[in-house]
Amino acid sequence: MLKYLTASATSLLLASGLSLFCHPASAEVLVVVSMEAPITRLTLSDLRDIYLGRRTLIVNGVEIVPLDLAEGTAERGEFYTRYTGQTPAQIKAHWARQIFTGRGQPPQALANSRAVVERLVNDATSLGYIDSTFLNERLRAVILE
Amino acid sequence: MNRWLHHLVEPFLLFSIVAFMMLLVIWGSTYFFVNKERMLIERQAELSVSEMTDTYEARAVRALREIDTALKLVRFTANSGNDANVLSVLNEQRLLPPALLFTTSIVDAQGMVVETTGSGLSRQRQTPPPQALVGDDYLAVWETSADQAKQLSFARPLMSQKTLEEGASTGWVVIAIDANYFVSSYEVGSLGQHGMLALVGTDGDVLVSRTGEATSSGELMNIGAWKSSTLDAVSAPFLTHWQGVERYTLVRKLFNFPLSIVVGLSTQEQLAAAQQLARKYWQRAGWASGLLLIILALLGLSSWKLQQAQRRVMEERVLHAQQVEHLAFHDTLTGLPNRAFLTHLLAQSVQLGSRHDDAFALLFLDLDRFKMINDTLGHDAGDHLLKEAAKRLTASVRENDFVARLGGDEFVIVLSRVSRRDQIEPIAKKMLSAVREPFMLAGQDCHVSVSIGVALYPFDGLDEQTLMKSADMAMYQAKLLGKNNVQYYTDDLSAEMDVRLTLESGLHRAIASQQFKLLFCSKHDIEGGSTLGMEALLRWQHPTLGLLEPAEFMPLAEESGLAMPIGQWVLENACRQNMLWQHEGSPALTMAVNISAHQFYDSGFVESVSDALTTTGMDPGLLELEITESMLLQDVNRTADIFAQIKKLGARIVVDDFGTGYSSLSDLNVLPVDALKVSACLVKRLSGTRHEQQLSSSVIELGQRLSLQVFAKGVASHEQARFIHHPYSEHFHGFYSYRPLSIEERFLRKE
Repeated sequence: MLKYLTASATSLLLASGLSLFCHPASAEVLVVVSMEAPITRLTLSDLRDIYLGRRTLIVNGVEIVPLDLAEGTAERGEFYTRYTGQTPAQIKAHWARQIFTGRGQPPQALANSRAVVERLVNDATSLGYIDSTFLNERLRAVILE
Repeated sequence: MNRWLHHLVEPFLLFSIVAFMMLLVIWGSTYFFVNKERMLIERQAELSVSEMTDTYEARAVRALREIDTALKLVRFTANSGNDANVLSVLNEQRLLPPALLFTTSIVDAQGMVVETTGSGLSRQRQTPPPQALVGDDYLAVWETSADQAKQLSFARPLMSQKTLEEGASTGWVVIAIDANYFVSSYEVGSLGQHGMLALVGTDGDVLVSRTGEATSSGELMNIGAWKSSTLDAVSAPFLTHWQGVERYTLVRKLFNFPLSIVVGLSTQEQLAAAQQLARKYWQRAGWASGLLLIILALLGLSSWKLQQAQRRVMEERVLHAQQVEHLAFHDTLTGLPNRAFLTHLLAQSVQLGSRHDDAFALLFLDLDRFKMINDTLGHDAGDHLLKEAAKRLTASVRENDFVARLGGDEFVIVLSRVSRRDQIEPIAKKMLSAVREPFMLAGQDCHVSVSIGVALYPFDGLDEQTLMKSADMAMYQAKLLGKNNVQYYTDDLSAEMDVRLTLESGLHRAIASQQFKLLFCSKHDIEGGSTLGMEALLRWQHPTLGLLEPAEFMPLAEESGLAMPIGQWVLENACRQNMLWQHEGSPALTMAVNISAHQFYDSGFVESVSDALTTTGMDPGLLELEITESMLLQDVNRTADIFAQIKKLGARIVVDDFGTGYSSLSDLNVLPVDALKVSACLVKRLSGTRHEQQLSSSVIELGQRLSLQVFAKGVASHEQARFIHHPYSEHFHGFYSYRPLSIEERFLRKE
């Protein structure tokens, strides 16, 4: 549905409008990296796999580590619902199974979007999602396709 | 044994057995395969239970160790420094279990939460672990409830053991985790909808268990009673019933933790495939059986039909053979056993008789007037007579007896178990009277009689041939004795028959081989005793039996058709002898010749007389033909006719043996008789009692009154002189000498 989501304002508005159709109460969430990060675009399935621990993203020999938000934050609910199609409870059950069977650890969770922004500004090897309002000139929204 | 084999060939039984055996094979092999499949699947299920238990054990132990390690790490960090935010620091370093699932807390001695990774739990009162951990450092596990989700809490005391020993109060490091975490490795793909993963405490209390998507806890599982296994031991799953589900189950106690795991696979789910396969197999067996039965039924039916057809053919053949046999052994006309069958039956009777000392009677029957009826009324009438007679004879005998037809008008009847004449007599009488009843032939009543000869086994013969011969002889005797009677075989009969046979065979050659000869009686004048004539008497000089009188062989000669040739021979030779004597110079004597009834009534008789006279040239007036008194009476008209012809030839007629028969005087008067010869016994009576004398005299006088010459018969030569001077001799014209003499003797006498 959101095949050509772009960083430009017009496309964001369009995307927001379309997404409203599905999630009327959610806030706008952006997947972002540092301006210095070697990554500009990601497929939706890659994004899902990275956040569910199914694969690690390595660009130019550098591992791009995903950052999560703490449980209960609005951005987190919005992010997982939109990009994985799963509820937080399902995500929790997923990670419980992953951890118990020894297949992986959940991404490090930060308290809020602000903490993510602070972390990304200094770390070009991380990937995060934030409320769109926290986007600044040192961060780059990843184009999802 | 053979009977059994014979029954086996019966198609119904054969096909039933084949069907039964094939069904046995089908169902037996199906059962075998189904069972094998089931065992295979059971084994696989057991194997996978073992494997899953191993995996689950490894995961559970690792998860628990991780938790314990985290607890120890927090304690160590808390004890090593005075940093108030131990958990934050550790979390920053990612040394704590992910806060997403695990809530790590530090609790003080009063149970107040000092620090926690869980939100909103800070400064709250935490329920202490159920066991008081005073005096020891170990891991405590207990259940707690947070937001209606079952949680498991793990705790270790904050202070070291040494501090604890000093009795100081201390706090706890606690990690709480959703209980479902421990059963999150449940996969429907391998465990099914009704499998089970469970984490159980030492007392068997279920900390958490999962079946399909449903989790539960709190029940008490009696794992103590279940066979528990260790990794070292060979882990063989066992069957358990838990909450209504039967499972292959393994229980394993976890190393170094007060916990056990339980892994179960639903038997029903595991065997579902096998059961489905089994259903398929049974279904196939059913179809195969049905098909087999149909095929065998069709085969059996056709085989049965074939056998029926064969049996019909066989039956027809047997019937045909029976008919042929019946024809071979039965008379077609009467349906009675024929000669061949009789032979067989007689042989059997003889065999039985000799074995059981039984007697039986063989009756030889001959219908007396059959030939005449056959000739006069036709063969159809004859056949009808035979059929009817056969019917009557069969009806006359008892059930065990049998009647056979030898052919022609001869029947043989075998009466079983009779040994005396008085036993046979009533049956024979019954047969005689049955045959005497008139037969309706060609529209008229015919009277037939039967002559029966009886021979008894074992008295009259020990084998079939002898018995038949004996009965035949007896029958012949019955015929001789006037027919319509029963005669029994005797040894005398046999002797007679032997003589008869000898005679019969010799008779034919007798004339040619000049065995016949003539004896002569002389006829004398009553006054001077001078010879008036001669009587020629026939004798047969038989090579073995000696000199035979006509009475001994003439009946036979008559039967054999030799009466006429012999008579002719006598006539001729008598005349020739007379001529010889005349040539020798003797005076012309009369020549008397005895004529038998058979000869007399023969159509060629008169001609034979004239032939004899012509060939010898004797004066016909010298020839005296002697006829017995009884012959006169048989057919008066015919006799008169023949007499007339004889008279025409010029021969004389003499009635022989006068006084023995009862001649009709009127007949005697009519016939041209020249002389009478009074029988010897009548002559003898003249010298008997007065009454006898009177009787004899009147007979002789009667002859005289008829103006006939009367001669006495049988006067012996030494009596001759006395006879001549006897007072009654006046009645006679002459007498005949008693003893006949041969030509040679006569010649000697003359000398």
